[in-house]
Amino acid sequence: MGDGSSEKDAVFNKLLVPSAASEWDIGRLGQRREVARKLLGRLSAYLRLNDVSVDKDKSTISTTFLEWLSQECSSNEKSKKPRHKQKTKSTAVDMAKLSEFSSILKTIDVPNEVKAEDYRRIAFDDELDIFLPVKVPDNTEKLKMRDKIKHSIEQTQPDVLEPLLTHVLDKDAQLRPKDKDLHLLDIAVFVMKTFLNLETIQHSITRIILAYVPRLSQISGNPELWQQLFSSQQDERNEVLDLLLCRCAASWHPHHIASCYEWLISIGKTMSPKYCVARITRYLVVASGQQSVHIEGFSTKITLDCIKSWGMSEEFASSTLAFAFEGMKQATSVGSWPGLLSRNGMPDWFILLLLLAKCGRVQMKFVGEALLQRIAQPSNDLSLPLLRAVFLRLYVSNPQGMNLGTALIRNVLMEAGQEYAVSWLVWRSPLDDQIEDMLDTVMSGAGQRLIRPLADLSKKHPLLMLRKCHLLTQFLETDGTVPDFGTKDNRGVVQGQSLTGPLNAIRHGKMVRVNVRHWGFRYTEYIWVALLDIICAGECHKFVSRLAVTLKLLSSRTLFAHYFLRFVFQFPFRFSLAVA
Amino acid sequence: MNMGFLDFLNANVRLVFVQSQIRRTERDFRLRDKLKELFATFRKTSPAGWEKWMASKDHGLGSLGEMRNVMICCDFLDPKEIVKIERT
Repeated sequence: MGDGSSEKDAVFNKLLVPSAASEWDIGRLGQRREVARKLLGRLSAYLRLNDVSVDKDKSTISTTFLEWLSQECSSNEKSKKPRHKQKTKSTAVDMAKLSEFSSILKTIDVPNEVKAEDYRRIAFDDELDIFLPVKVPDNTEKLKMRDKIKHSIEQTQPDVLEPLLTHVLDKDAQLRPKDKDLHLLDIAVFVMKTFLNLETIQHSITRIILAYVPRLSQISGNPELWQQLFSSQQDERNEVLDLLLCRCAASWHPHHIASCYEWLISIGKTMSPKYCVARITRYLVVASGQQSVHIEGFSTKITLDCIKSWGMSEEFASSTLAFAFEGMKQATSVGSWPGLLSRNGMPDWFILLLLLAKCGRVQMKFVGEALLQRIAQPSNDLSLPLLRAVFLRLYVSNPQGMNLGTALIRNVLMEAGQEYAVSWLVWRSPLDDQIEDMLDTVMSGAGQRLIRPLADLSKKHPLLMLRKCHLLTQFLETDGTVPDFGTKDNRGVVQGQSLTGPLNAIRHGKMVRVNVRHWGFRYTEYIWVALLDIICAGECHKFVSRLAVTLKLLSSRTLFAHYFLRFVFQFPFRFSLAVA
Repeated sequence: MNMGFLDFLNANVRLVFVQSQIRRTERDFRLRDKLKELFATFRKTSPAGWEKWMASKDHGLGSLGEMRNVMICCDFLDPKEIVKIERT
């Protein structure tokens, strides 16, 4: 184009005037110089993408216009004012990357590793200034970096390794999100591999690994990385990996956590021995988004947006359950169940079971059935006492989710309650506070209306009410104590006096009559009767549902009362739980 | 029993005993009736636990000896019945 014209400059200049340039559809155009730059960039990218070599195809391709454009850009740069000098300088350097133009290639060396995709990015990104210097990571640089990292880890050179990893992170931070690649993840995987292959672990290197691997793998992860993190190691590497995984769970992006979850669920079916189940259960608990299993609120669901399906699919529940039972097997031995019977510090596998059970009634039923199935057929790994303790603690931790209408469940709970009568008094239950608050109100004399709800609660959860026997006894002892000074409110209080009447005594030389009143001389009758009612109500909770049906069938209240009493006194075995 | 249930029963029996030894404004019929029902159920459903409790002495009224004696004093148990049980 323009080869035959005697006035090439005039012809080409006319092409760059705004009225002509607006026809090219290359976005918003600025001054003439900008038009020349953009045009040159587009043409060079087009040639590169189509693999057109100007030198080879001289016979078919005319480079007159391109050479004029490059000269035009160069000349414009020279005429720049000082305040624009910096910008035009970088432009000239970037233009040199376009290897098609021999006039520029003569002066500037262009790296051969620049790929066609990079030019596409340069040329068609509207936001990007066309000739911004895009630094393309080349393989040789990567390899050099890896060699340095490997060498510093193997030779225990923390003062070399740390600046290297900092440099990698800083370099990545300068890129915009869409320009970032998987370079950091590759480095993280490589660092982990090298670290785990060391013969002996040095504390100085461990410190750097703990600090940098979570940051390197923050955005994304892959099975290769997760396999190393969850791998079962022999020596102190296990402890390092445990700590590292906790840090990763705290710093990973939610999308990364979610993808790791999915991967773990997929491997849960096979349960390969090469993975550390304890670490997996720990991660599943830590990354679940649930701060504490004891927190009760309006929403007990998992709060992490990316894991909305936590516990909601059967596959998820099955895998989680498999991990929990495997963790139970590995963490417990005969007669030793660390953490299970204590109030705090519950083992991770149990927390995992509890988190799953708290997802809903279906999940609770799923977990309960799995436990009952193993209770029916106990093995050497999972003994019957252990499974009963787990079942009882599961009920205490989530009483509302357990269906007590099943006789098998009630029997297992009763047996477990007898077996762990001492231990389970210290366990937490979400109903503890509720029951204690209601009892406090009843004892204060202002909550006689709460006696019925308390009796209902006792019918529904007699075992939980029996746990409060110590508190009830304490209340009774307090009520039977005669206060130093008489109270104004004596409603319902039964007062008593000694049969011998007042006694004579000498005080400050004067004869006085003294009323001696021991414990039990006064008591509040309705409180004592109410507490007995509450305790007695628990024995017939099993028949509440049946009686409710009977109530619908029988319109007569008298008949209902008759059948109710017959039921209560015919099946009082429930009471045996408390006294056996 | 380890859950404190017997302590709860002991407190109730102790109150009834104290009330039976003093001059009071009201009779404790309701409390007695409730306790009688409870004891009957206890005795029927767990004879071993009942007997163990009857033989216990740590009920807070040590001068009376076993709980059995306290129960007789409170009219919860009939002495003739005790004698009959002992003979059999």
